[in-house]
Amino acid sequence: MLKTGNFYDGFISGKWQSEIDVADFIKQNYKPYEGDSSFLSDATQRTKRAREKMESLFLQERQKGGVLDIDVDNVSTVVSYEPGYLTDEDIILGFQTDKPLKRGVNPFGGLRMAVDSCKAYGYKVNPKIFEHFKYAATHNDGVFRAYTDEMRALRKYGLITGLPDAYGRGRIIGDYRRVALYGVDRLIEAKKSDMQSLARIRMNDENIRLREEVFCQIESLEQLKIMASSYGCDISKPAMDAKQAVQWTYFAYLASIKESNGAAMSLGRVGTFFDIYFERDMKNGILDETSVQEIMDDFVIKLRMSRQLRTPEYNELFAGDPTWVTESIGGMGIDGRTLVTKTSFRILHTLYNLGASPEPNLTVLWSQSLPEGFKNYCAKVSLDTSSIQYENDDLMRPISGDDYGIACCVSSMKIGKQMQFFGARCNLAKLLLLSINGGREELHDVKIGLQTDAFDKGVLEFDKVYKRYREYIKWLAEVYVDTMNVIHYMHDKYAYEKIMLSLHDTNIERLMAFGVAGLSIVADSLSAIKYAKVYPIVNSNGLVIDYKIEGDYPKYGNDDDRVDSIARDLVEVFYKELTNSPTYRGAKHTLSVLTITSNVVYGQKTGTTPCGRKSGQPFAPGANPYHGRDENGAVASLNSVAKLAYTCCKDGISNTFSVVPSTLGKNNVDRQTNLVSLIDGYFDKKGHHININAYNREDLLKANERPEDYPNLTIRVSGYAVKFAALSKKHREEVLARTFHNKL
Amino acid sequence: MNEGKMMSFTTDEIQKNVLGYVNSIESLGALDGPGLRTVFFLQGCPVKCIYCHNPEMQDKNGGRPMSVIEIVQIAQRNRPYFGKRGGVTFSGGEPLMQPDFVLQCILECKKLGIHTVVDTSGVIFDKCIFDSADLILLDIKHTDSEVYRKIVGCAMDNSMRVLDYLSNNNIDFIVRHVVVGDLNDDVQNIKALKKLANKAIKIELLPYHAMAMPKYEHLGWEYPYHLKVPSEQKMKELQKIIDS
Ligand code: SF4
Repeated sequence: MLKTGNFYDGFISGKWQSEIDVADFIKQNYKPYEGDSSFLSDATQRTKRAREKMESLFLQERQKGGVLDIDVDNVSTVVSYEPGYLTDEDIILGFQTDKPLKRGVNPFGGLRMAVDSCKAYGYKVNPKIFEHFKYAATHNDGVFRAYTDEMRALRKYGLITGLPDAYGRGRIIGDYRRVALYGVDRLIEAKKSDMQSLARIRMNDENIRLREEVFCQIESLEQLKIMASSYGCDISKPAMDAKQAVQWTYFAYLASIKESNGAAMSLGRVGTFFDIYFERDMKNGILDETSVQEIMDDFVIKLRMSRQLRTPEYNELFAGDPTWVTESIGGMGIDGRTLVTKTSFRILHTLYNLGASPEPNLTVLWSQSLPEGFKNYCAKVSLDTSSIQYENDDLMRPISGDDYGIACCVSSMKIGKQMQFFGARCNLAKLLLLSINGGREELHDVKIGLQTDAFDKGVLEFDKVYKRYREYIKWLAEVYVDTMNVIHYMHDKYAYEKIMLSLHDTNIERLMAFGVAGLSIVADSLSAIKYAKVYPIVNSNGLVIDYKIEGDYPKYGNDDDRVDSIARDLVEVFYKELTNSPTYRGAKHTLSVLTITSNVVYGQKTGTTPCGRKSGQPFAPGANPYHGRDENGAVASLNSVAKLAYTCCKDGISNTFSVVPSTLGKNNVDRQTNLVSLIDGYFDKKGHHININAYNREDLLKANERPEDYPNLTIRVSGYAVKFAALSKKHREEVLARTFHNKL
Repeated sequence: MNEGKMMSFTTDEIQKNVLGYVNSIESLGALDGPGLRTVFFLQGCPVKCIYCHNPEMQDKNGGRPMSVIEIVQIAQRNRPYFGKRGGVTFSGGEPLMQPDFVLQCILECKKLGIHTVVDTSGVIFDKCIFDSADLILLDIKHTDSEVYRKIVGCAMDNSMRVLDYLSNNNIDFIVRHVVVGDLNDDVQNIKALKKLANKAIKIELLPYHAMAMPKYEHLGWEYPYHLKVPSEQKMKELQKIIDS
């Protein structure tokens, strides 16, 4: 039954009232904003006090080696902790445990990960938790029961790495707005009615599984209400006002990050939704601009303090302690109106009111048609804080509609309608070396996969090498899909994300997201083989471990079609091979060119490559050209990356761009307009994603020497941002080695 | 207007045959003309300024041979980045050392509606190019002929002839002046510059920097260590004169 009453006073009615359809609600009710940033409000005294408290806790956390505190006695669930507060004047309430920054133990993904994480920070998990998992398997247990020897080998030697087989898969975005718009009772009602519909279908595998899942979803919605009531809030009904709308939405998100220790736990696209409530309250004289900004600031403070418990090795892989609270901002509606509202500005403005920060991962959905005022403000914020990433709305909207969000760094999905099976990435460069060696791994000399003769004598011939490589790609793609099927079968079985999926339609579309790393290295290596003369060098066991290159060759990153076409071809070939293998639950195959920060670790695990890169040297991040090989300036480099076809890489193509601000123009106004032109240009060329960093190399050198003096220096790495000081020394050096576009 | 000459160069055949020698390309140029630009640094310069920051471009031999068509293709590829004000810039070295090539590039770009800028030292006079480019960046090394000779190694006459021509023919131009400490950072020079360049759209003072040092090392040339980077304070002071 439709709940009426005064929750919806002042809203335009529509389909959203008879069905769960937040996008329709937004479309009917939002007010596009085409102006500039002059209306924004500074931080209030209360915000300043809260910020101070937050920063002092961050400092204590750093001083304690990265983890402030751990609750070792409870298993993290939606309802396992007492309420927690930052100050006695919090506006938006709720922490994952009873204290800010105190981490919960979440063993559902894997018990060992949880235990090791505690141990690394000097804590011991309460034995009663072990007791429980004696009788219950974790996701990790399940996966390793089913893994084949080949899958283990691929994992062990780093041909596929970062697989979510020992931790939560994440990358699922609940439609947290539903809780605010409908209240939990209405959502439960809808799920119950879905249960009824499922009862009318024959009981096959899929239907049995789904019915059990929906049952669990309903249970978790009940728990969500209990959690909120511990903070004195009754969320069974819709939100009455803007503050409640933000709060209800946050509760739903909070329950998700309590329940799942997913790698990326993204927020979705809440800004324009909130804006409708802000506008209504402002019209009714309940709020003014200052108080609206204050709510957004406090909301963002809470998001910045979300934490998961992970091992130091995991943090090393991802550089820092990321949670990817990605919020998608702006974009255009299918009807041609911009989805930019004043709240799009407000959320960016938190970077001034609260200082620059990696989280939440603010992601602007850029379209050529965005209002100029918003484009200029984004450019300003980028130049001032380096804290925004941009993704091409004009590329994604035709595929994902106008209510999609970005999970993690670059993965788009329709909110509440699609979910993703996250699949990390495989190392294409290492695969090339494996194929040249005919199935012998280049660093440990073990046999993996197809066994053939090696290309170990004379000059390497492109046609032969490429043909062989494609055979290996075919083989790897098959095992990769199978590995993912095992992982997600077990994840659904042992660590199903009840609350997040309760905030999805019951019949969802599933995406299976594969990834590649080392693209620029393979493209350059194949180009070297094709256009220069490359001779393999073998060790005493006849294993190819090095290469001699005679002559020059075209390098990816210079807008040179000879090599760019190789890169483009590679992702197409790999994607096609993936689609030849069926997936668990009929998920759609997608592919990303993204490394996050694991490009450093990938490099360590990969021998010398035919392009001249030495063994152990880091890869370039994401789809970036290899450091220092792009010689014609940034635009040529962007053009190379823009040639990779998004149609094959719908899970995203990540590009990280670093520029010294003074090279973008002589004054701030020029720099802003030129940055806008740059983003417009890249996306017009069909580029998909760009991180923008604006800083001087000298500043980074200083920060590298004394990171503790720069606790808030934020930089964008492949797909997300980190605090520079939180990076390992190796990562810091990698960032410094990156091509800076600074010709004078 | 030099129509006869312009006409004689517009046949496709000649365009294809004209080759330029390009030292390097900066596809993200934001400092040599308005907006975002693709800057072609052409090889070769007839003079040898004491503070030259592109010494590797002085040698007339060398550079990568490129056709007009290649240049135009690159411009086309980068066009989406140009925004409302950007385009291409021919710099160097001294681009007017390769007048046929530069002229053809300009004419082809103009056909496509791409904004063109020529960045010249003023040591070569080329009416045709001055008439065709959308904007000229004219480097004036000094206002006193003695000091000018000391810096550039030749007489100032040509530079003045270029300035006169641009000033008297309604051509859009920006005057640029590299300020070196103790060499040309005196108030008198800047005042004189302002007077000389009164027809320019803008006068830009560029502080000398020592970032070309590795290039000198690489060439095995002695670096002009005696040249000083002007202080920020000084630059502000001089800028005030320009702005007043
Ligand atoms: S005119 Fe320019 S390129 Fe030629 S020597 Fe002088 S500064 Fe160098």
